[in-house]
Amino acid sequence: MAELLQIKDLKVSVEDKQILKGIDLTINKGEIHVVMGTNGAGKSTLANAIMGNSTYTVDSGSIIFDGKDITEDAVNDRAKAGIFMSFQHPISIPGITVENFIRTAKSTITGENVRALSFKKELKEKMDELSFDTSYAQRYVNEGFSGGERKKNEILQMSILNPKLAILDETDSGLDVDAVRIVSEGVQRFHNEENAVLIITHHNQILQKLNPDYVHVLINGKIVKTGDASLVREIEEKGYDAYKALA
Amino acid sequence: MSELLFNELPRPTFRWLRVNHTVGSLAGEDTAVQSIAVEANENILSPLPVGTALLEGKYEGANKEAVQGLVEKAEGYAINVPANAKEVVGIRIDATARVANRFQFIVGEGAELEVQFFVTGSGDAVTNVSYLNEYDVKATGKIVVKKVNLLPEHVQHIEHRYTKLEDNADVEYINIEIGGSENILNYYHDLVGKESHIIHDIAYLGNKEQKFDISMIMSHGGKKSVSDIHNLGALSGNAKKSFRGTLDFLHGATASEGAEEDTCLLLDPTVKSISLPLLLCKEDNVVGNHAASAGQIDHNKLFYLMSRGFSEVEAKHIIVESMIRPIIDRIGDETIEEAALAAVRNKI
Amino acid sequence: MEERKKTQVADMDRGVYDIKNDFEYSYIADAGLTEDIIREIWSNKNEPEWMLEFRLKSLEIYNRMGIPNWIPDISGLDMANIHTYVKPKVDMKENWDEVPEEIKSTFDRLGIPEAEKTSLAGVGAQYDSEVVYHSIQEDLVKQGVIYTDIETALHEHEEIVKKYWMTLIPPTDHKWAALHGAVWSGGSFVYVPAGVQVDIPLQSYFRLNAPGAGQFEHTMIIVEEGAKLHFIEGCSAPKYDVSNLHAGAVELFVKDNATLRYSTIENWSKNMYNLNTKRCVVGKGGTIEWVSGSFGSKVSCLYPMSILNGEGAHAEFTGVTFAGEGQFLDTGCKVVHNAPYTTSNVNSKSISKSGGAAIYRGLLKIGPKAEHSKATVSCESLMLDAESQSDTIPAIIVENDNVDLGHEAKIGRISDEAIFYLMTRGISEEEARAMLVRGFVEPISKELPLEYAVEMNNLINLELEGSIG
Repeated sequence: MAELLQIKDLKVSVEDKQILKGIDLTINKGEIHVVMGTNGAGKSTLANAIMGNSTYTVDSGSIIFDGKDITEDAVNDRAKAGIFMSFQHPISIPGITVENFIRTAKSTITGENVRALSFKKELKEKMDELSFDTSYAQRYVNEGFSGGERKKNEILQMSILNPKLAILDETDSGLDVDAVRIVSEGVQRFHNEENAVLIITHHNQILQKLNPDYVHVLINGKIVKTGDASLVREIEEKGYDAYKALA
Repeated sequence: MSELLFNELPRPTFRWLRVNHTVGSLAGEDTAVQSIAVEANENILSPLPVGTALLEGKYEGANKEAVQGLVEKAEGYAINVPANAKEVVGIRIDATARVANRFQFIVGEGAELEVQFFVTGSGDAVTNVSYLNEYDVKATGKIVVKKVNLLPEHVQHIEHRYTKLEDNADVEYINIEIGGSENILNYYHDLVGKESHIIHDIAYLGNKEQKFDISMIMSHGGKKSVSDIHNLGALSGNAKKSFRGTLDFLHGATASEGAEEDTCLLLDPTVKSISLPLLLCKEDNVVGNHAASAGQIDHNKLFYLMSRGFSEVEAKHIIVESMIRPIIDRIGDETIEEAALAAVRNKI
Repeated sequence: MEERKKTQVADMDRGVYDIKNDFEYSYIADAGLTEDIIREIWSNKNEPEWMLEFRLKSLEIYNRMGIPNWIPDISGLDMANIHTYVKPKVDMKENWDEVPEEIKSTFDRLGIPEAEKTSLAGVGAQYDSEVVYHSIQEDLVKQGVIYTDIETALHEHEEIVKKYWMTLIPPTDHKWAALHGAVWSGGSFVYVPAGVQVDIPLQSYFRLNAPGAGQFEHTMIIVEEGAKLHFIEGCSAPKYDVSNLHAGAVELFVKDNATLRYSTIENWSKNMYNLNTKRCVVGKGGTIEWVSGSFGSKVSCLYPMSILNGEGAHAEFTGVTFAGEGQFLDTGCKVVHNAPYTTSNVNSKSISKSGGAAIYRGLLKIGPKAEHSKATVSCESLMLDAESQSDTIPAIIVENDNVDLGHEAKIGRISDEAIFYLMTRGISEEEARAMLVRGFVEPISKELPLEYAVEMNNLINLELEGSIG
């Protein structure tokens, strides 16, 4: 299988406190990976470091994406290279409509002028798939959106921008059962042999629909165990305490 | 009696509005009597001789003549809290005749000071109570000042207060302003220290011909300094309130935050409410918010209470009291709290 | 939005505004201000006798009045060097082809005749002190709508002009109002008879071309009972080394149940002292809507005022101010509620960068008679760097209890979080900032006519270009 993302001995700090203490992770095309772990273990830090958030400082190690070292790359260049992150807390942007925003992002990423009419059509289709009220296309990004609507908006952006690697940072948190189902169906539709998904979560709800190839347990800044989908059930039964000793 | 300009706006605006300052003159006789009781640990209390220099030269917006008059003529008290000490000071001003005084507080590093400041009086004399408070709060020092004004209705009341906050200083001010004929309150809080923090809450209640003329400047010089102003009250009769609140973010006050809120409940058609919430900013990395509102008692609240059997007047009393009560409850001295509450009930 | 930006930025730069025309003038008043100059202007313009008296009285007031203590520094403005009257060598035309080539090319470059063809019901163009072109659709004329330059109105409709002349902005109001009263020239006059709905906007464009000149145009609009009008005003000037002065006066009379929308995009060059006065009085059930964009000038003092005199009258103010390097833009609005059930909404946004100062100065006054009034004010300021200045100086005066009033102001910068979010979607930092700034002013640009919204976006792009390091 073709290698998409390779993280080597990654150490990351936030405000002088080291959160990730040496992460190794390889994701191939066509795979779904899950990172689970306790609060504060560094799950979101991993997502943000891959995306290049400057609040998170890479102390050492490297991130290789699609054969290229992107450890020093700007956030938007990573996005152009094909990395997408669904935010845990998507912010609102007054004054910019959802449609305008995604269309601008799409033409920037593809480097092509996205035609208004065909884009409108595509947007409507994808919104329908997500049971997302299409009138929201004309609303300002996330302004006045509920938690569930914000998350749907993230998945909508993912499906239109069509990245090679989608990182879902706690996309399922704070959602009701129906919303989780809609979101995981969206991820299912997106996923194919040419792309990969990295799911960060501390629930297992979202995993019922998606069949992960690898499950990683992150404790105290390190991946302490990697297994297949059965590991999810194991964690459910044993809790994280059982893994703390491994850290 | 000469005309004096009080509470000058740091940045004047349209002249025809006549809000750039307040014109006043000192009421009552020229000579002052001392009728002040100060309760404090004697190790920290000493007299402040006439002529003692001000802590800082700048009392922007204050009436210089009035302040200078106090420096030159008034005796006062100096309170010096040594580093890491914890002290409580009680001050009671009993205004039967003119009072002019000064208080200078120096709060050492890591020290904590609580001041109970009770201004009251008796009699019908038309007179004036005027005093100057200076607080110098050293690094990590902490002060809480709870002031209650229950002056008789003919007494003019002028307070100037200056605060200097050094690094990580923490200041909490509470004012309950109920008495006095004309209350001219001038506050200048200088947040020179990084991560210094101040809250200043004022509750007022005005009726008849009462005036509340409040000026407050939060000068943010230190990085990550935080200020919060709440000015709330109710007016009835011909009462008038002017609030001049300024958040001034100086260049270099990065990551500072300031908020000011001026809320006025209007109970009669003849009241007057003036609000000048200024936001001055020379630093981009700050958060500044201000809000001002004025209006009648919320109809829904009134309806709810009346549906529970209260008359309209009773319901209004409950609403006004419930607005001011949380601030009164923070005084912490039962006798003063009860006196304040009685004064509130008496007025509405 | 984005694709549009790309195509339009390429063919747009400040240069369009900055092209100076060599043009011959038939009359230029001496610099400075004397009674002789006033008499000369008056006789040159062939005005009625009462106007001379008015001008001289205004001059006397001007000489007597001091400069207010609260306005920005205007020491760079030397009245002795300002030509108060500059007459282009042309009479007013009603046919665009007859306008002299040099003037025509200026307005062509600014896109004025193009706009007339596509989206306007009438156009006026003023070049320095005189209106050089005026046109209006015939069906409006048939309905009794008058749209002409103020000089023509003074001759043809003298009674109306005289009745309203500087009643809202008397020369005693302030020093620049007095100056305006003394040396005013040019401007537009609109009269909309009762019940007439003018659905397509009328537009006047003011161009100050001569160096060291003053522009003192007077705009008078009367919208009679139940009538409706949208009026657009555009201003620009090329940049010279000497200071220019603009002290116009706009007097708007909105009668019972009438509606007027007054939109302005002001892009004076950055040597202009823009000391302009705009005022509107609104009758029972009437509405005034101000849409105002301030981008140009060195110093601006501009606070459109709405006086709500009739029961149920309504005022709406939507404004954006963008202060860049060397600019001190002191803008805002005033609303006075004088009658019961009056309402007002003020929504102001300002941006400051590269050492520019954007000041919001406002007044909200609810008088004793204005019972059951409602008013909201919202001011937001965006600072793009720490060299700039942004102040909010509102005054709120309430003189009766039966009101519902809310005022909110916020100040801050573009959050790093927002920039990160946009960048994760592939957008560059520079573009992310520009998008967020445009988003910030969007509630205002959407109120503008399309070509003005586009122009505003272009001005923002222009201001932001190269500013992100």
